[in-house]
Formats: sequence, C-alpha cells, structure tokens
Amino acid sequence: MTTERGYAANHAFLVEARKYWMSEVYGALRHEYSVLQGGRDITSSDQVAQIFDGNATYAFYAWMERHIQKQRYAGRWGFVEQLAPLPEQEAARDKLRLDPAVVIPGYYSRVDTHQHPGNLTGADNAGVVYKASAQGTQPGATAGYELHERFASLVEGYGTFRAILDMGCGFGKSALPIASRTPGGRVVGIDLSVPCLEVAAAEASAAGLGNLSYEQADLRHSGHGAGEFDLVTSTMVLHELDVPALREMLVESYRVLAPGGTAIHLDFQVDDPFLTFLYHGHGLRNNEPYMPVINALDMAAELEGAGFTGVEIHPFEETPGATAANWPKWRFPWATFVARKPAA
Amino acid sequence: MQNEPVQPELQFFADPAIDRLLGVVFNLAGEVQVLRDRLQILEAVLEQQQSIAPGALNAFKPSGELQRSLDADRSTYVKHLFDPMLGLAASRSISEVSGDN
Repeated sequence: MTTERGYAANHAFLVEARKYWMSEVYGALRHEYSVLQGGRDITSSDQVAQIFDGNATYAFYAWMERHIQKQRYAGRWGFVEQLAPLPEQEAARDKLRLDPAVVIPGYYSRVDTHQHPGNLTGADNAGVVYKASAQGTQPGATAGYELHERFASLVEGYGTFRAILDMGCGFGKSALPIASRTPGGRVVGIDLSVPCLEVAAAEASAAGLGNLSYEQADLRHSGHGAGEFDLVTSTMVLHELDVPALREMLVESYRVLAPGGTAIHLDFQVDDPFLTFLYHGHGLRNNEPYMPVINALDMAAELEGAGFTGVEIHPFEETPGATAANWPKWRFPWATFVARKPAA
Repeated sequence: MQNEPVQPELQFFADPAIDRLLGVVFNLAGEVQVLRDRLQILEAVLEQQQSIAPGALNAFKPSGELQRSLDADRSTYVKHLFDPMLGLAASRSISEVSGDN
C-alpha cells in the first residue's frame, strides 16, 4: 500500500527531522561544548573528540545525522525504492556522449557515497535518486539549488568565458546555471555516472540550452585537448576524491586550460576545532571518507604543485548571512578555490 | 531495487542496543506521520463530501482482496519497523583513509 502521498509524507517528516537536528540538536551540542570546554584552549579536533567522548547529546547528534540520511535513501519509503528511472525518451541523447570504455576507479566504487545504496553508477534510477537527495541535503539553504545559482553568479564575476569544463558535474546542478549565464560560450560537463549524466542532459534540453552538453569521462583523464578551455569548474567534487585522484584532477585541469585560464572549485574547508570535528564526523557518517584527508591538505600548495598561480581561497555563503560567526545552524564549511594558469 | 546490507551499521551509543532501538523508534515516528497525514486528508475529504455515516468505519468488514492487501502492508510495515534491530548498514563505505592511499 505504498502511495505517493505516503512517500511525500515520510520525506516531509524527514526534512522536518533534519531541520530539528541542524538547529535544535546542533544548538544543544554547541552549547554543551562551550560548557565542557571550560575555558581551555582547544586547538585540535582530537581534543574536541575527547570532550565529547561518552556524551549523550553528541551520540544523538551523530545518530540523527546518520539515520535521517539513511531513511531518505533506504527502506520502504526511501528514494532508491520509490523513484523510477528517467524515461528513455527524456534522456536527451543529443546532449550526451557516453563512453563504454570508462573504467570506474577504485576510490569511487569502494564507497556508497552519501549512503546511496549502489552509489551513483549503480541502478538506472541513481541519477533521479541523487537529484531528489540533493534537494533536501540542507533544508533552507540548498533546496531549490540556490547555492548553485550563487556559485554560477560568483563564477560570472571572474570574467567572460567562452569554453568551460565542469568536472564531476553530477546531474548538472552547477553546469546548468553557469551555461545559462554564458550565452556566448559553451559548457561541457563530465562525470563517471551515466544515470546522473542522463538527468543532466534532460534538464539541459528542457532548459533549451544549446551551449551545454555532457560527456561520460574520468576527471583525471577528460579526453579533451591541452588548452581547450578558459575556465574549469567543479562543485562538491574535491572532497569526494582520494589524494592521488585529487592531484591527478588538478594536473588534468591545468592541462586542459589555455594559458591565462582560470580554475574555480566550490568545496569545503574548515580549521575551527569544533567544526572540524563535526565535519570529519560527517564524512564518516555520510560515507564520504576522503573528507578529513582532503580537508587536511594545504589546497593552495596542491594547486601550486599542479602549476597554478594566484590562488585565492574564500568562504562561500550558500545563503545570505551563512558565514556569520553567530550562524545558529549546522552548515557545511563552504569555500571557493580559485587559481590561474599563467599566461604564456 | 534496494541492495542487500553489506556491513554493520555505525555505532554511536555505548550500548549498540540503543542505536538499534532508536532506529525502530525513528521508523515508527515516520510511519505515524504518514498515518497522521492520511487521516488529516481523509477527514478533510469526508467533511467536504459529507459522505460517511456515523459508525461506518467501525462497522466496515474488509473484502478478501482488501484484507490480503492489508495483511501484506502490515507485513511490510513490521519489517521496516524492526529492521534497525539487525544493526546493518544499507550502504558501503571504508572506515579509515590515509593521506597516501
């Protein structure tokens, strides 16, 4: 007796549960931290972990983060069970180039990222499932893709670009608003996941964007020529890579950029001990195991190691006011990483 | 469509029974909200249509087909409710990653 109404009601419940978790439970945890800290100088997330060892509020915080997400994906009402794949006629094959020779790398295939059973290259409905999940990842901030519109607007502020490569594009949530702001240029999105690319191509077609296309490709070896693009972007990709893959991606992004080209990545960076503790814990709880090691890297040095110069790293406001010190809700530590390939 | 669970669920409380019991409570809470939603909609529809007699719900006897559907739904519900007691994840990950993996 599974019904659309039951599915909607259950997910509305989960959204409310997540709102409660990210405001009330997070608020309680933050308050307890300020009390338990007791004026000590806390300089590392390991010290925060010691403070919360055996703490009931933290146990509930962690449990809720893990299991609200689990219920969104799995079980009788979960996306995986409930959502149908994209209909074949909507796949917009003219906007999509698949490559059967693409090999799914081990860092990717070992993990069901975001607790998505079967991961993004599994079932035919994986792209639809990921899209549904992404719309409620952070209620009030990322719902409706406000974040991606804001990122596209930020990208626009860095110049007028004519050829853009979006690496690890997923279902095109950033590539689409970037393309809509770049009528005089072309945007190519690459990703490993066929189901995600099919959703992306369908949305590009529905939006009537003739300058946006998608390709199945490994971001470490995009298949594009040296110097082909004047802008490379990525959104929420860096933290999903292990260190070797990240370094290969940066080298590849440098290679495909023309001299004077720009790279703009939207990802996460945090160093506050309390927030680092929660962020690294999120990586464990949400099946994003590379988060801690990527966060620990000196990303400016990594970009420079690939040849880039003029590196800028800035906090990113996914919604107005979110980077304020007194922001009352849990949030991802969004940051932009901007770098340039030297002019010839 | 759902994969078989492949590894133990993460543990956050000192006693893993609390983790599992909380899963049951959480599933139950979701199901209660589904029912609350349906009941609220049903009441609104009946009120608008003035189409139900007093005592009709209590007197109703499900037909064979409806009864089978109710039985199957209850079975699915009970499985969903108690699955967290098994302490199994629905997805795979790896526990630790070094910087040079």
